[in-house]
Amino acid sequence: MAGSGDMAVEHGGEDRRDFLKILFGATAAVGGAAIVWSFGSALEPGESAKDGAVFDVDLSPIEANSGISLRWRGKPVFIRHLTAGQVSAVEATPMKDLIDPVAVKDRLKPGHSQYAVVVGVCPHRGCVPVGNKPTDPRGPYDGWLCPCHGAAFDAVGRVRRGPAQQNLDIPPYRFISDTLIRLG
Amino acid sequence: MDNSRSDTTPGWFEARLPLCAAWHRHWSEHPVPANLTFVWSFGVLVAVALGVLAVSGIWLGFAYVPTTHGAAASIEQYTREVNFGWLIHDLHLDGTTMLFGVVYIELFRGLYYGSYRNGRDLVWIIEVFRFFVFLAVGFCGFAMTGGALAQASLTVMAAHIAAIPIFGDGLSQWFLAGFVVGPATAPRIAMLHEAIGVLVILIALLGYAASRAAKPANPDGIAVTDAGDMVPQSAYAGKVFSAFIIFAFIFALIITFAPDLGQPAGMSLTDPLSIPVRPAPPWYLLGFHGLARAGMSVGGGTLLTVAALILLGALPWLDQGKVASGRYRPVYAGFVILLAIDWIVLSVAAAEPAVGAWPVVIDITTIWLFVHFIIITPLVTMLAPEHAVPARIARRIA
Amino acid sequence: MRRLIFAAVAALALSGLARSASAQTRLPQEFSFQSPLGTYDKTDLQVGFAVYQANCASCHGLGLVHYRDLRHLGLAPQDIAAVLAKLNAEKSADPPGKAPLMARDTFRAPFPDDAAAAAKFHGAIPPDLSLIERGHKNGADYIYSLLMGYRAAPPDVTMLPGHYYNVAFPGLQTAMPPALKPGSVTLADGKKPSVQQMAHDVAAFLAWTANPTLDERKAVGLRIILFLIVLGIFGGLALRSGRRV
Repeated sequence: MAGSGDMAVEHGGEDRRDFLKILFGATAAVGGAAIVWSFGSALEPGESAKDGAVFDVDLSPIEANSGISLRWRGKPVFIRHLTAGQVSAVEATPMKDLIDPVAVKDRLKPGHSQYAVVVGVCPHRGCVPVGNKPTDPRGPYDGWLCPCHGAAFDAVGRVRRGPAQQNLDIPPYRFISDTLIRLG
Repeated sequence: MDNSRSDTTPGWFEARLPLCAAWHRHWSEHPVPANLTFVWSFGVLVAVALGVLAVSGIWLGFAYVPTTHGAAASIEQYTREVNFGWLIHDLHLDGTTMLFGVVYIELFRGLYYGSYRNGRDLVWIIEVFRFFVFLAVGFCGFAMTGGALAQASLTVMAAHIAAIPIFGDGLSQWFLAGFVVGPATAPRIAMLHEAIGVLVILIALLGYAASRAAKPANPDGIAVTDAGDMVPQSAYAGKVFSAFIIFAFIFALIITFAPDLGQPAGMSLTDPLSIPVRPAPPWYLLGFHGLARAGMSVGGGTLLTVAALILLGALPWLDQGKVASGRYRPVYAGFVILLAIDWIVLSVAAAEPAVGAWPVVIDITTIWLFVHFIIITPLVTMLAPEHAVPARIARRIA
Repeated sequence: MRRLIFAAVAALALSGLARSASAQTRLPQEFSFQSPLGTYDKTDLQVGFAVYQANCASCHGLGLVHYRDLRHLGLAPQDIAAVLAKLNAEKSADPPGKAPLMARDTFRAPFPDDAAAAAKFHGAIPPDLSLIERGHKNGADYIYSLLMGYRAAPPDVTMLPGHYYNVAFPGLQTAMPPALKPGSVTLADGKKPSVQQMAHDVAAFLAWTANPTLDERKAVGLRIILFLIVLGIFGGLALRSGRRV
């Protein structure tokens, strides 16, 4: 930083001046970073938006062999109460018949195998499959059927017929009690 | 301060886009008179306040719902639910107070030191126009807040616009997007606020360009011709920095301890049908509110407010004196200070209900305002004794 | 310029004198949050919330407050769940079949709409109280004074039907009956607060609903002020050492 006029300045004074400049610059930078951080933090979803991100669902009203649909982070989530027969039927399916092979136990929570929880968005083009309402067709595999391009899913949401190539997503959730899950 | 850059060859970026060179030539090395006082830093503060208002305004725009019922609710929710939402809201709200504080002081600086002289008449007209546009944006912003008072203020403003001869009715219907304040009004006022808000930055830049082209204003009010009386602008870095720190400090004090300062009491009413006991606009509009009330009729009020702004802009021609600065014409300087007091009293009286002596105070201060511009200014500047003006600046500060 | 600033200060001081004459029906109270560095007293707010639930909630809503916000009063999640369970067990104005209240809901509105409220109270609609404190100058004092301001009407006053004489209410006649019932609230230690304390604490609670970010504002604002002092000192030193050269 030394210009021709600074030659006469003794070395110590110049060091002190540089130090003060750096100190000032660093302090100003901290302030600038705090401003940027607070304005950036204000772009996060607000509390009401976050409310929809994590919440509890009571499963006790769901009758066996029926399901409910709800909205979680703007996406449809299907919860179905499976009968013992439906569980054994999906477990009997050989792995080689699956397009996207995943064991049934990896798609259900241990000890709560009567409840299937899936994200109701077809992995093919993003349509919402039907099969949750009593009046809906469930497709050939007793699960869900995508009305757009005909993809069919089994009772735990594994794809059995294309064009979809992946199973239905599973949202993050855990059981708090036998009939209460926390989504998110 | 730092001349080292000009000695070295420019880097890749600098050679293609010489920003540093432009900064040096037009800002830090730009010659300015050596006698500028603290208040000359206020131009930078106007830019700072405008920057704060622009950024916080964009952030509020993420949440603002421009409908009659959504306006107040959306912003109220934003301040409660979003991280630092309250801070961004108050930066915008109190930033307005800071901006107008700085702008009012700058205007009186111009009046006192005759900054409209020495070929700076156009600069002055742009500054007055900029002030008018600030007022318009401020009004729209206030009217955007929803609630009973904001709605009432829109009705009153529409009546003022309707009082303009010939075009008035049409303009007022354009303004309200209807015949009364209705569902189409809120989006229009919001858009007006945002569009003029951008425009005002352009006007401010135009004023800056015109000011740089003219002879620089200074406390001695003389056209500084001697290069020895000029210093590079960077010599004032300390003054600008301390002005900025004081500005930011006051700003922080207001946000922390008095965020509603400058807003009329009873702003956030829950009942849209009731108006506070003392309806009044924010403080920076109070003087004009007083002029409008002194006008007796709606048309008279419009006339007085517009006339006051036009007379302010006509100062370069109303001022008949040989010297410009209040330093060398004490009689006129006294009258300028009296005018400042007159404006403050008018503003205070305009916030009061029309009972007791307040209407009389409004009338007297309004009459004095016009007497000052129409009679006092030409006569006193022509006739009152003036001190001899030095040919060069009297006292170097930088 | 200096003379000018002095004149401005003098003019403002005069206007302050003119203003102070207007508040004679107010009963100024001490609130912890009114001093420059003061924060909300969470015990006050919790009692205030209980007073609101017991005495105000049947007529006045709090549309801007969510049940989850009660955690800022120091309520634990299970306390909030208990509040919700109690509310869900009560009979409400909600249509049957409506989902039970959850922590993410705003406070339950006492009436489905204004028309229902007007029908019940002969045209007087109880206002939402979320922002009532900010709608008045020194709003917490106003709320306290209003709740404590009921008097027997002087003989020369003709009362409107269904109205009550209140010295703190603008116009002196309010359609709201005296709201605070002695003994309507029981504290954790089994005591029942006096009516004065109930009025004080519910005023504090309504100040919180109007300015829930006050504590955060003061904390963040003080940090900004301290930062500016440090920045000013460092900047002054850096600029001064630069000028000496």
